[in-house]
Amino acid sequence: MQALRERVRHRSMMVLARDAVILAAVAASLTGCTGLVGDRPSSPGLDAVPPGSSPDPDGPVTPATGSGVAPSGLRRLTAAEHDQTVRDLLLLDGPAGSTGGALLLPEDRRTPFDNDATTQAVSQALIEGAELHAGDLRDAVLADPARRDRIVGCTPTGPDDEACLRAFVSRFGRLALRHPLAPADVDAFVRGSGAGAADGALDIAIAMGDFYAGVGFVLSALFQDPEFLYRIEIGESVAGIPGLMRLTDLELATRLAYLLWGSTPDDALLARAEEGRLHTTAELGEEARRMLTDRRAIDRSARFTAMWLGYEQLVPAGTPLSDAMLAESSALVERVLFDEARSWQEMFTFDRTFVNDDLAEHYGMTPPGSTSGAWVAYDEALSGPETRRGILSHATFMALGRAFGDTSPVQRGLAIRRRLLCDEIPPPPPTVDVDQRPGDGAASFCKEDRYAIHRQGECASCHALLDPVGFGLEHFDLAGRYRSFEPDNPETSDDESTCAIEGQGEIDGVGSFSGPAELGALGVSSGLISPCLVTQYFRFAAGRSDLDAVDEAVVEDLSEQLGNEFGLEQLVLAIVAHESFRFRREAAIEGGTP
Amino acid sequence: VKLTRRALVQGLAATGLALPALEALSSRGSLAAQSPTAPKRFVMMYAGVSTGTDAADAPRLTPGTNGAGYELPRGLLPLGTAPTAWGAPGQDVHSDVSIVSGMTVPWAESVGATPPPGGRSREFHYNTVGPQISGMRGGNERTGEARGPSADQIAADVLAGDRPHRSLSYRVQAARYVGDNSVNGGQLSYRRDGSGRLSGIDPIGSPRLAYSSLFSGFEPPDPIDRDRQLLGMRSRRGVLALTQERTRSLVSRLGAADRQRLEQHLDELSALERRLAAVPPPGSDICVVPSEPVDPAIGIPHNTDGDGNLAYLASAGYSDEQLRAETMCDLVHMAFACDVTRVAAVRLTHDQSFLNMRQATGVEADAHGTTHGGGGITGSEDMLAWHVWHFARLVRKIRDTRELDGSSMLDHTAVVLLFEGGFGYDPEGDADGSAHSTENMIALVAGRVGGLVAGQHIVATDAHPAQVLISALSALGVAEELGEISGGIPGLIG
Repeated sequence: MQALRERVRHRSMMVLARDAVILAAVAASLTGCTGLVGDRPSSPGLDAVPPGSSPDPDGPVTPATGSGVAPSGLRRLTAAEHDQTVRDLLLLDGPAGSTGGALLLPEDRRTPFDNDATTQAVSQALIEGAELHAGDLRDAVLADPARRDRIVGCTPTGPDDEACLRAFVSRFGRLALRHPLAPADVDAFVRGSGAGAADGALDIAIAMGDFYAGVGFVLSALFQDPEFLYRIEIGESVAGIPGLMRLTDLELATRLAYLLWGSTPDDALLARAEEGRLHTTAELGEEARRMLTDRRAIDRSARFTAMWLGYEQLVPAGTPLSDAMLAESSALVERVLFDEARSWQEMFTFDRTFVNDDLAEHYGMTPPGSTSGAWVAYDEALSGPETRRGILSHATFMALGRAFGDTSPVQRGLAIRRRLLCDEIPPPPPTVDVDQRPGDGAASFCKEDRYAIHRQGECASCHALLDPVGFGLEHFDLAGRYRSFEPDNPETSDDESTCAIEGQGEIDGVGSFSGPAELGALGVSSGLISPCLVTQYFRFAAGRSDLDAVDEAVVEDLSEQLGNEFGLEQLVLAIVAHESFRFRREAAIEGGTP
Repeated sequence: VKLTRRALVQGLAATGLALPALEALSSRGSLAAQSPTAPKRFVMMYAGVSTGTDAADAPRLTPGTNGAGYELPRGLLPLGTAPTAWGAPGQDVHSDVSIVSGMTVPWAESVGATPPPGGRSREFHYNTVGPQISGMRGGNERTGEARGPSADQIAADVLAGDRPHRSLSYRVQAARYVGDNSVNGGQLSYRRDGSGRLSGIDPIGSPRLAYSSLFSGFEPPDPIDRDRQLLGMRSRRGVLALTQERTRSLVSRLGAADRQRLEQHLDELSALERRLAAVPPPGSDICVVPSEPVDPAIGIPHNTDGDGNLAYLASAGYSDEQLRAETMCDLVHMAFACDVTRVAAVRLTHDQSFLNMRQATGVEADAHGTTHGGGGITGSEDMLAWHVWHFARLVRKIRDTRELDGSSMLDHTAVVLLFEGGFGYDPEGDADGSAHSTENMIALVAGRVGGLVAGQHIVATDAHPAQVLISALSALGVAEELGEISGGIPGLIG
């Protein structure tokens, strides 16, 4: 391949800045890279009581001020939530994604989670996609009489059996819309809108001489209903605190279900809410504990982890090896967080992993003699020079940070800083072209030489936070395999790379490490990962990535409460006990007052 | 002989023509609009890639000769009759397509400075599309949003009339695939509503949804199917009325911010209600409802290892965008033939596109990667040719469709293809010879509406790409300016 011509672009920001304006802007944008490490919350104290938490775990939820409640608004079901919800409502056993909604509904943006309500837009594509998908779901149910009968729940006497139709609307509508239907609502589905001006389900059943055409009408209507597509929260006013609303028990049931399951509340949860038994901290906690024993809680936690660490979009399901990689990470979530109820922090230090023969061979580990997978101890299965521990050693995580055909120490460092340590690294100055490989024209093709340019001049302050982190993982390629040398230079005919990898890394001001095992241990022992995890879980729970000052204070409270070692259950209980989970404020209007 | 739509469809059914694919339809060459005066139509297409590559010293789409019969570089081969490098047939539209080259989107003088009129900020990716489609200068954020109405929406204001679809907005690339996926949803259409608020229109990314939106209200040929479909429409309208009523009732209970969002939901429901009421469109007699497409899976594994097994890691994604592009362009063509819309915007690829080019063209790189040397110079050219091929194929279909007066539909249509970038100076990296440049910008134009000149290579040094759109809008009788840019490309209207 033709050699790239000599270019100066990446170096230009320090040596060729064209005028003072650029220099000033660069200087301004770099100030964000100083003092980051020192700005963390101080060491958490375990006995501090966060202001927003109810002091009496059995008492009713009555916040003193509502000061820990930031504004929130409508949240649309994400494509993944929509899929899980539909599978639960229609008793479908297919795998995630099998309802086909992702093909028709808008792609959710990841920031890094897919449920950021501030990115959800209304569009023709959404409305018509929901309509078409609702028709697909209706057809799927009607084509399967056994399933249909279970969902309908009664046997009609004929096309005009209004009683059976009403019973179905009442029963299934409650599950689909996540609250009991008022008699007027049932009327509207059965008799049609406008007090019968338009066709209702009964009209259609009679016109078609088929009771189940009416059922189809109801299914189609429910699956495009705004109360199905959106999580509507209105709440009840709190006396003496203008703008603060306490969520109803049913609204709390929905919050709980989508946080823990990514799905709709089941009958038991709805019943509990209807009976007013989801009101106190103790009641919420009790229900959360029950829900955490459900399979969906495991899947939801695995998905949270995948979006948090970034591999959800990097490692596609569907090939034998990628499926084994994804299974490895999901298995760790299940074992550490659920089966053995260990701490979140052990996700980064666990000394065993779940691999099948293909994946073990891929890693250079002793195959466990299983095509479906088995648990192996890293230190027994590994014969190479590397040490592996925890999820950062997985191929899934290692897929993060690709550029120019191989691992990018900068991109890996950036990803770890942003995702794992919650550092805010400013974007590179606009004079930096991030599509250009650094250090073309450096002393050698080896990364250590090429990235040396980042240690010069004004690049240094930010890149000191990034590159040393990424270089500590250089022994591991994008597929998570250990290597001693960098890949061959694709632009020369050299047969073998002569760039030996040193693999030493450093988190500036915190400590040095080599490889994912030491990185995980350092991240945990330094107390850096834990508060970041709380921040990320809060974002996920709240459905917004940009946290305001109120949110930040809540996260700090929660972090102090939880400390540096906590399990999933503790994290969940702390979140749902906090007033931010149980109250809401009106969001501001886009573009100001109309 | 003027066939009614039903008679034509029944006739096809009677002869056993099963309409297996959209392709089968246009080969009949008899589909036409029904108006005595053929309606004017506009397509704005966009490719999220640069027409140059860092691996080469010059832009790769600019023909070596000017004027008529311009020579076809590798990237423009689909315009001719020879097959492309990967074996796709040439579309034979050389004399129908003009190339405008040498254009520039200006950029901000310094970091943080306001760009000049029609200009972009210094950051390249995502920030070049807005100024091109709207003629308005962009901001400094990497959101890719236009700051004014886009040309397709301005055209729709004038051309849409009472068509059931004011305009179509489609996105071929099924997902962003790589990156944090937080930039934008591939919007290419921006409309200013009655209250003056500018909003982007989320494109439809599902071919099946695009089909359903256009044609699900049309009557099927079989009488039994038709009766069922009529009842189905009755049910559909009932459901829609119910959903509207329930949404309205909900809106009244919400706080201001939530109300605002659900009111948009309500607006879209009302738009759907109007479309359903209008289907089939009044006076629409001759068009054939294509068969319903199936959506290819999103992000299917997209690389193979040395042994031919599906490999596990991705630098890019592929969801059969080849088929998606064909289907969506076919739908645009048939929507025109059935006169259910007169304006379409089609985004072939996202900006900085991570579409894997391997499956469609054999190039071992993603689209964006080819502009930075991946796949070599020919890799970049074949990546461009893939985009050009879909443009050329749509142009051919439009050209081969006869209006009632016997004229070609292309005589009443303008089709423009724009690109994210060109080749030349990159202010971001302060370097020459870069694909991160809005110098040497190129646009492809087809159609003869309003005297648009076809089959020419016009070098329009320092013109703005928005001027190509202005030429098209001018030829369509819509506008003589776009945002902060005015005047068309000299010589593009004869």
